[in-house]
Amino acid sequence: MSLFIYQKPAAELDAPLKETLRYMGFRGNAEEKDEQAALKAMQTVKEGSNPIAVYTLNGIKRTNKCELDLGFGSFYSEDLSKYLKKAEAAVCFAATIGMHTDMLVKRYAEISPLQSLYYSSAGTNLIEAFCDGFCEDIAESMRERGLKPRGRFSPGYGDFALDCQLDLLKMLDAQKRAGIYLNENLLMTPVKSVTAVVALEKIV
Amino acid sequence: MDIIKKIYEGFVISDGGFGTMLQAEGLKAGELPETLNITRPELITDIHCRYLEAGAQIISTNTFGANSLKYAGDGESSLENIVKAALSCAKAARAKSGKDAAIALDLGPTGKLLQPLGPLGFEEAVEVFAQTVRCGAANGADFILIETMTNSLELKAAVLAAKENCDLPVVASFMLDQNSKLMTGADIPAVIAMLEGLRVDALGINCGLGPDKMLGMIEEIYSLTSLPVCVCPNAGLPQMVDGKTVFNVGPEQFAEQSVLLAKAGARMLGGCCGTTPAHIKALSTAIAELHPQPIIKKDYTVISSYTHAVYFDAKPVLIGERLNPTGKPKLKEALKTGNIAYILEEAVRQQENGAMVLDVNAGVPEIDEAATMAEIIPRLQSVTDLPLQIDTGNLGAMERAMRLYHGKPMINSVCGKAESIKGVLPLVAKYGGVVVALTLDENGIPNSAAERIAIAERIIAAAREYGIEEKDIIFDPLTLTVSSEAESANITLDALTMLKTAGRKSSLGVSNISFGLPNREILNSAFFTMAMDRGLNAAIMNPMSVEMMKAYHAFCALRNLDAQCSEYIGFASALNVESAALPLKKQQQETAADTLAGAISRGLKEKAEAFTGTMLADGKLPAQIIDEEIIPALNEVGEGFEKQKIFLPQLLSSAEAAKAAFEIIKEHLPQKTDESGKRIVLATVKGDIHDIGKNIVKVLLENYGFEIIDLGRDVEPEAVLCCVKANAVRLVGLSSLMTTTLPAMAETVKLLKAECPECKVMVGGAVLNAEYAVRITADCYGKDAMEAVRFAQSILGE
Repeated sequence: MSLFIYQKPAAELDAPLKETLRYMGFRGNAEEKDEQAALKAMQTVKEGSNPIAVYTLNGIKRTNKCELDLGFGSFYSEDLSKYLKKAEAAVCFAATIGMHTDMLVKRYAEISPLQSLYYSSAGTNLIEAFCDGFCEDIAESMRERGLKPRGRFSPGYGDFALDCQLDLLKMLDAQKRAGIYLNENLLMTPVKSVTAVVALEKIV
Repeated sequence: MDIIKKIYEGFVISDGGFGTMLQAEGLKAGELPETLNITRPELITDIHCRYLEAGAQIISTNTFGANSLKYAGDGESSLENIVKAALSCAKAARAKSGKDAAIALDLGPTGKLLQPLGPLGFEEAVEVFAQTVRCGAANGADFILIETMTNSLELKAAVLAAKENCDLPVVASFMLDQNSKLMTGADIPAVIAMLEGLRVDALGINCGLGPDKMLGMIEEIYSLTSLPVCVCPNAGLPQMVDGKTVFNVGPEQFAEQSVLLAKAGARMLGGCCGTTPAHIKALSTAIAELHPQPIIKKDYTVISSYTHAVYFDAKPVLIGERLNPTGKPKLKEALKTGNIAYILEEAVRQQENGAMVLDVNAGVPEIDEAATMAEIIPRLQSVTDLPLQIDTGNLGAMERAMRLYHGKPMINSVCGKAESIKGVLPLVAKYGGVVVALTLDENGIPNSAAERIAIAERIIAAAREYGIEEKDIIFDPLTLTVSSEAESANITLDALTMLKTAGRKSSLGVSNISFGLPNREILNSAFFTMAMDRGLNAAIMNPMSVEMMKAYHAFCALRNLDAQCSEYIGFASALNVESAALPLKKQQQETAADTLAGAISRGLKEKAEAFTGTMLADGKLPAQIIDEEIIPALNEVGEGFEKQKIFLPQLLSSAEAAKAAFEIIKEHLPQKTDESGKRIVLATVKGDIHDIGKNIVKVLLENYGFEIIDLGRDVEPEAVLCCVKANAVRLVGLSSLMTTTLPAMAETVKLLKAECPECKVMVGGAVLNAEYAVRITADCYGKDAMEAVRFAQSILGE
């Protein structure tokens, strides 16, 4: 099994302003000053971020009805089994934009929760944009093989247990390759990190 | 083999990937590679032999993950046995090869994140590394190789452990990402400053990237360090292109690119992940005819934070003075009462106003200064990435702070007194730092520039005996007030000229010049300009003072220290922004805010502050302002939020504007009476590190006059209980964002209900709902911050 690294400079990511505003809690009513503040936060977050993903491309072993093995040990999940029903293979990945946003959020946590929220929302927007870009590039590279990806499915969705992250991150050597740590409560550091499975289905 | 001597003589070839070789031999995922030292020593010895045959002059023990966190047991696989067996394999291989190779005790990261990012304490990390070091040194390692470090604080812990537990040379290697930074944000100059301060013997980079990507990094490292440079790249990065695997730099390509690294200044060269004996053989052959670049001493005066370095050169460095309690009653009070939030806010504000370094002094008579320093240094470094100047005369406090400091600190100060030299300089020699040398001694402050310089010379000589170079000393020729000593400015300025002529660096506490005189900023800023013109390298000053910042930016622009005057333009343009110049839309918005209440509703913090100041100056009573302006505005915003007419960011903007107004009003209110009845404890529960939600609730509750005891995040149930009991608290708010930390919330509520049944508990957070709140017997589920306010009002009264 090979591990692959995927990187893209933060500046090249398409993270629209409206998404940051949506994560902030605006419902289409942001004023110019709010938009300016969000743009500034996004710029600061982008400047210090280093988006990186580590991933594998695996076959899917269905050992029992809803018991799966994607290369990091077998586990039971009805919802993930359903998601992978038509899949020929799966990409397992861990992605992060790095520690910079965590630091910014913490810097303002006690001084200005509003500013903290701006950075946090900008960071969420950026990691989502990075994951979207990653999945688009996977789609591109899989087209020749006649495969197309479905929308990603993360531990914590449905009955895909959060504690699967432990073995998933271990398989991906994510601590060394991407600087992603998991604590005993299954929280990832950096906070703006994502783990997920992407089903690859035959193009019909 | 004396590895350091060898490196100074020429190239030294190190081995390649060990994990790669073990995987090729069938190491399974999840299997601990170091146990093979005991279960398959012949395999480990054979891998060493293959590298030695390939030309490696250094073999690294199979101990990358051998630490007491991973090998905690006492049995056969105890840490001691693992390390001992590793050394025995390496020694057997060396004997078999008949070569004069050096054995490196290999230390990798602990695998845990250090505080404040993770659970591992700094001293705990030092001890984890220390155990491996002691064992490796006792079993015949020739030097300590710390490698693949991604967190510079962990790197510091490893170096200290090595230095404190053996006499072997230390080589420190770290892993950079494609932006040339460590995972925790440090750039190359910052890491080099810290490692040179800690007196490692050689430094460099490994892993993470292929040799081509490392070329620019090695060039930068070589240009900055006075030490030999090492490099161990990966065999490229595996990547997928058009559905096919394209990865690995083959041996020949690896060797070709390593030649470029050697030409760029690397002396110790080897490989990391993906490299094999074939890579090392090709590398060894390729550089056989090359001559290494010379190791050149650099003369930079530099300090660092956990992200970047600050150099002391022609452009003066601004050191914020606001974290020194002398003459600052609010800060003194904050230090006494442990009001860390106030201290952190002062730090961030100074950074926002242009400080480049922050002076930190916790010298208040009634407190334990060493303990306070140990608490505030890491807290400050979690909110500001500026380097800190550790300012204390208490040697215990100085050492605690220097030890925990993440980077290479500035130390304030040593002086010409024998006792000071004996106390401070050994600390600088051990932990690294740039020390400020005050030109005074047992006889006090001399009355002439020449005598002050003579003291500086004596300090230089003393420092040399401790191995401290002159570049790590900045001289403070001292500023005395002109009100009591007419010649004082002249003496100080002359001393600055003498220091500059001798190529020495200088620093001054500028504001001292005006003690006892009115409108001090006039004198301070003029003196500041004069001092900068005489070559002052650093000033301890107030970055919040517009006059001082005017002097600084004007000086830099005029002296060609500000390219295209860009910083001056940024600063000066922001000074006088007239409302006429504002875009029309903004003007329209702001006209809606022509009262304090309007400014708060619109979330305009600066305007709210200005209105409050004006109203107080006009004789309006604090209580009147609160009742007639602030509370109605907050109520209006709160109701708008509840009716979903406005949303969280607007609610928060208003809350912060109201808070700013309150801060000004507070100064005009009589001394607080006992308000324990309105006290609320807030905490994010154990295991959870998310605190944005909790902080939002906090700011809102404070707006409504509640006194908040904020226990922070990841708080043990017992700590909440203890605080409730100690402060006679009647309401607790708990927050949790993750499903995995809900049990900790339930446990906390249960404990509070059992021990303090009269205390009410409100809970909130993304994964909570009213049903769960009922199940865990909480008294209230607050779906948002306003609900928390309403509940608090219902329990503790208006």
